[in-house]
Amino acid sequence: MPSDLRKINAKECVGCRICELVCSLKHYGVINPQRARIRVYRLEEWDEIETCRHCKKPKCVEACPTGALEIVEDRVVLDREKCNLCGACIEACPFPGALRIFDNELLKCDLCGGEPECVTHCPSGALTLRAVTAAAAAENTEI
Amino acid sequence: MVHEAESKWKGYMGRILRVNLTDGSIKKEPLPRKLAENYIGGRGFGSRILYDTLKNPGEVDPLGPRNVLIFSTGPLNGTMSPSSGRYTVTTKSPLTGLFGDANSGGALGAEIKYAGYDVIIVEGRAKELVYINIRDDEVEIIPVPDLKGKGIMATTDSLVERHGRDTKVACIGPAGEKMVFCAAIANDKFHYLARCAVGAVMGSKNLKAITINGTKDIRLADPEAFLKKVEECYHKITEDKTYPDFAYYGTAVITDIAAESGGLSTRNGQTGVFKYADNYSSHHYRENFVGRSESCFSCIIHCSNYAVVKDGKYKCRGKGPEYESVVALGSKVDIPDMEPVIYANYLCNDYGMDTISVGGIIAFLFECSEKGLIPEKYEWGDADQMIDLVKKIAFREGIGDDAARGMKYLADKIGQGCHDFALQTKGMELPAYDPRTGKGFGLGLAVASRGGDHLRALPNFELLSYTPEEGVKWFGDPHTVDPYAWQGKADMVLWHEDFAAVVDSAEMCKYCMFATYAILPQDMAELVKYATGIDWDGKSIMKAGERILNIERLLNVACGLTPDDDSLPKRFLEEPMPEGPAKGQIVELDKMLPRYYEVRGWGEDGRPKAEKLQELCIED
Repeated sequence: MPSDLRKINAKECVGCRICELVCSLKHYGVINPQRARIRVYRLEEWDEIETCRHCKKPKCVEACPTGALEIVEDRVVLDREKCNLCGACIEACPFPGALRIFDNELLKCDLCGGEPECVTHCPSGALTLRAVTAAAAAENTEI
Repeated sequence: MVHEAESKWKGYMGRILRVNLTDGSIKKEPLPRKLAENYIGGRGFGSRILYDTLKNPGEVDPLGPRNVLIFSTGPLNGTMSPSSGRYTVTTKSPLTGLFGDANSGGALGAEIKYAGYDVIIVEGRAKELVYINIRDDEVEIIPVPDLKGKGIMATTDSLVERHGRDTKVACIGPAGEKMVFCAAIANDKFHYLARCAVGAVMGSKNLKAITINGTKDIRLADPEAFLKKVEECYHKITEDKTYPDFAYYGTAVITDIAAESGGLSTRNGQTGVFKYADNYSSHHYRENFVGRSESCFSCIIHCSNYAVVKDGKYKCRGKGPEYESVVALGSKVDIPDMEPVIYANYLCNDYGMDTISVGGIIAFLFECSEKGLIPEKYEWGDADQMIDLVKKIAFREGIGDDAARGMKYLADKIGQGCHDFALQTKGMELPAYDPRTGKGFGLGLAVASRGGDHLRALPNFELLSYTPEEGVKWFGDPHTVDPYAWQGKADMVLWHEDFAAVVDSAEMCKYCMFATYAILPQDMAELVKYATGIDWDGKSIMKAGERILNIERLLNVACGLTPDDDSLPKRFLEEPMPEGPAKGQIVELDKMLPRYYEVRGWGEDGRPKAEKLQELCIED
């Protein structure tokens, strides 16, 4: 049972995008950032990391009309069979780019079932794991 | 839809994009299997394609429509292989009149692959200023009169706004448009294909930019073995003792090393002892100017830095200068403080110019002035004069118009013996490190296939305090670990050149292997093999490196290169280092060159011998 959540510290990000590559390889067996469930965009003086925060009170789950998104243990997970690509979750999510549709599929982080590849391979400390406490989970919903 | 023939490729995308700017034709051609099996990718592809494309290369005007500009990627681009964000542009250089290429990091190389191409060849010349927009299979040539004269920053911002934030942009600034022989091509705003005046060739084609968006998959031959090998390489790199400092301070640590060894080129190389070295130290720079570290695509070293000069007349923010730029625009001109150097670097970036060439030319002009050979009055250390010259070169104003044709042209024009201290080889301005403090470096600079350049060999082995026993083990000679010795250096440089060609062709960054020697040919062979399925081993991949070196040599010979061009300025050959740890040293090039030719299999005329070409399976 996963007891950790991913902590995102964009200030530490160096913009290497290795997270995107290991994500797409893990889930699709190919390398393609467009298929990645985490994206990094370089701005002049920092990087934006776009991915699901697994909020404690997820707006996407509330918005989903088909029940494709649900909270399982600490995570928000997608049941692809139920998803009709309506995009309601994308509109409801407060984090731009956290959810995307590419190649007829909603791209949604599942934390690799508890050991996220992006965290394992992050060289800078921008992505780490931390034990979930109520306070931490709440903080995780803030931008 | 993925074409059936393409999907067979692993690691590679299997296609070449050919854009002719004269007639507007756009062709997609299959990547020849033989090219991949013999030349690996990237630099190797560029060199071989240039060799096959330019019939009678000696007669091709580098700035004419017959010259081509080849953007090439390697089998590791776009993957998580360590520091695999490099790519190469190959052309006939207007600066040297010889084979030329430039290599850059950032994320553009990966995007070329994601768009479905290994190589993009640009031919001909557009009638008006255009850019090429690539979105996977859709390729269009678009006029762009509104970007005429615009700098790298404004051009990149404008094109990203037009085509979306996933867009990767390679472009030229005003220097490229004006065909200045220091002109670079910038990608991702802050990464530069700087050497050999590739930006001037792009300008000659009326090509302002290439914009790329890719959504295609890269398939690997053996994903599991590949990822395992990648992780092994990550560990080798991060566990090396040089990693923490390099990751934190970046190439500024090399400034420290050069200062300690008395090789921090000062006043146009008059000495290697720089009295303001403390103001240039890695610690001083990091603490005072660096906002944060940045990495290229898929790189765990992240040696780049974002620099900020907060206020004053040198106020600027952007990619900070690397070691080479710090020396070229700083110590070589005897500038006491870093602020104007950071500012001059920022200007070179925005105008789209090679800092090594620009700084080298400025330092040369300062010395000509000191010696009374030109009417202009320049004072060592005068930062405003230095910055003024940066602008004059970029816009070809006043003396900048002659300077924009390169140091060799200037020296020919000024005469009066100034060639002795014109720090160039084959017409290209020499980089920072004073070769009197590392003789292997000296040989490497003299024979580099793209002119005065350190990255063709980068024989750091002699500088890293290895033991004589290790020297024997690696290169069969204990002297190879002694920077001041010339013995054994030919063989050592040759190994480094072949390996560098492998690394440049797979398109990884040399900092992974030439700073630590943690990643070796066998590792490279495995990475490429697991990515592509082509059965490389350490020996065969080094043979490919040697093949690439020899193709480049054949191109150069065809362009008129003779053994006299494998040389260094007299300053390094005859003027002993006046002070510091390397006091009294010169580069004994004449003692190293004959052995180098011998082990390369080249004749006294500098041509690869027929046996060598046969051995390497290079057919004409």
